[in-house]
Amino acid sequence: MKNYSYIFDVFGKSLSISGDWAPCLKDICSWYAMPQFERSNAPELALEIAGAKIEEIERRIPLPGTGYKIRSGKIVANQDFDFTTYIDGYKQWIDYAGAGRIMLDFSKGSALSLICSDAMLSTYQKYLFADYSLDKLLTSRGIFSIHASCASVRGKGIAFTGNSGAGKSTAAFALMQKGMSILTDEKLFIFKDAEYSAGSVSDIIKVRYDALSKLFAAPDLYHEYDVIAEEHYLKLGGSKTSLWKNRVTLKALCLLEQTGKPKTEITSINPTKLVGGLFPVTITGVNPEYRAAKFGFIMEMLENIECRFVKFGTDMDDFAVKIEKLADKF
Amino acid sequence: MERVPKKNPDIIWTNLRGEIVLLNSVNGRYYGLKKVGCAFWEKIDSTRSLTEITELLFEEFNVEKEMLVKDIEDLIKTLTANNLVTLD
Repeated sequence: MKNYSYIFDVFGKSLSISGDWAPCLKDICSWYAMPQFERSNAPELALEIAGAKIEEIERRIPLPGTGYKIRSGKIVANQDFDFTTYIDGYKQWIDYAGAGRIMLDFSKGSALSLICSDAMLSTYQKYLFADYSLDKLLTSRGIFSIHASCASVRGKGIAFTGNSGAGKSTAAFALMQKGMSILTDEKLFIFKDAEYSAGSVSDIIKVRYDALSKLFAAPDLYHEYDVIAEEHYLKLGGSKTSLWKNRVTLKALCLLEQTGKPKTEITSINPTKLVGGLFPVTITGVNPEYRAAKFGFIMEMLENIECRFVKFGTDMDDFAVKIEKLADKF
Repeated sequence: MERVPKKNPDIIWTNLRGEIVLLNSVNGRYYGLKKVGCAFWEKIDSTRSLTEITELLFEEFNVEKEMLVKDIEDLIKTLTANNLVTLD
C-alpha cells in the first residue's frame, strides 16, 4: 500500500500526518487548508492513520481496563457506530467497534488511528480519525476549539456563537456574501500569542442543499468536495474569489439569537452568557487537566475580548453594516 | 443549618464580572451562579457552617432574614443535588 506523508504548519506548530489509509490520506491536503511546514526534522505533533485487520488493532492498540472507560455511545454517520472512550493519565483511547480505534498520547503529542473497515464514508473517517485526534492534540498544546463561526471584518476577527439554529453559519455566510473573509462556520480554534488569535484548519464548509441558493449568490464558484445526504461540502479556498482565511486576531465574540425581525440589534453582554455555547461536547473528551486548562483559557479570553449579544435580524445587508460598525470600534 | 458545606474538589470556577461560572472537570458540565449564589459560593471555606455563612450574607445584603434563609436552603439543595458541594 502507498505510504502518505505530509508536514503541516498548524498555527506555528509542525504537524506530521502519515500512514497508508488512502480513503483518509490521499486527499488530506484538500481536506485541510494548512500551509506546509518549512522545517520538518522533528514534528511537534504526529498523526498516523493506517489500515489494519481487526485482530491487528487489538495487538497494536490494546485497550485499558473498563475502569478507565469514561464515555460510550453512538456516533451517527452514514450508519450508527458504537464508540467507547477511555482515559488513563496522558493517554486516551477511542474505540469505534468494528470500524477502527485511536490512541492519543498527549505527552508525546502523537495519535495513532487504525481503521479496519470501509463501512464508514471517507469524509466521516476524516472527521473521526483525523479531525478529532488533531483537535485533542492541539488542546494538549494550548490551542482550544470552540463551537463558533468567525469572519475577518476589516482584518478583525468577529466570532459568533449560540445554540444550534441560532444562525452561526448564516451569519458567517452573510458576511462572506458582502466580501468579507470567513474562517469557519463551525469549529474555531483559539490560542494566545501577543493577542487572542482565532484560526481554522479547514476551508471546507457544510451547507444543506435547501440553503445553498439562499446563502450563496454563486455556489458554482466553489469546488464541491463531497455531497452526503443533501449536505454539500464546499471548499472555499482556491476559488477565483477565495474568501477564506486561516487566522485572524480575535476582537469580539457575539452570542447570536434569531428574532425573525428585519433589523439586527447589538448590545453588550456579560461574558458568562456566552459560556453555554462554547463548552458542550468539546470539553469532555480530554483528561481533567486539559479540561481545567481550557476552562481557564476561555474564561480569561472572555475577560479580555469584547462580548456582544446580537439579536440577529433577517435583513442581511443591515446585519453586515452593523457588524462592520462593530469592528470599527476595536 | 449547623452543617459545614465543602466545595467538590473536582469543581473549577471563576468569577467573571460578578457572576460565577463553575465547571465539573470530571464530566464537563458547567453551571452559573448569580449575586447571592456567588457570595455564598465565595464564603464556603470548609470551616464555616451554613448558619455562619447566612449571617455573613445577611450583613452583606439588605434583605429580610427569613427570605435569605429560604434562598440559602433552596440554593444548597441545588448545589448538593448537582454534586457541587457536600455537607459535613
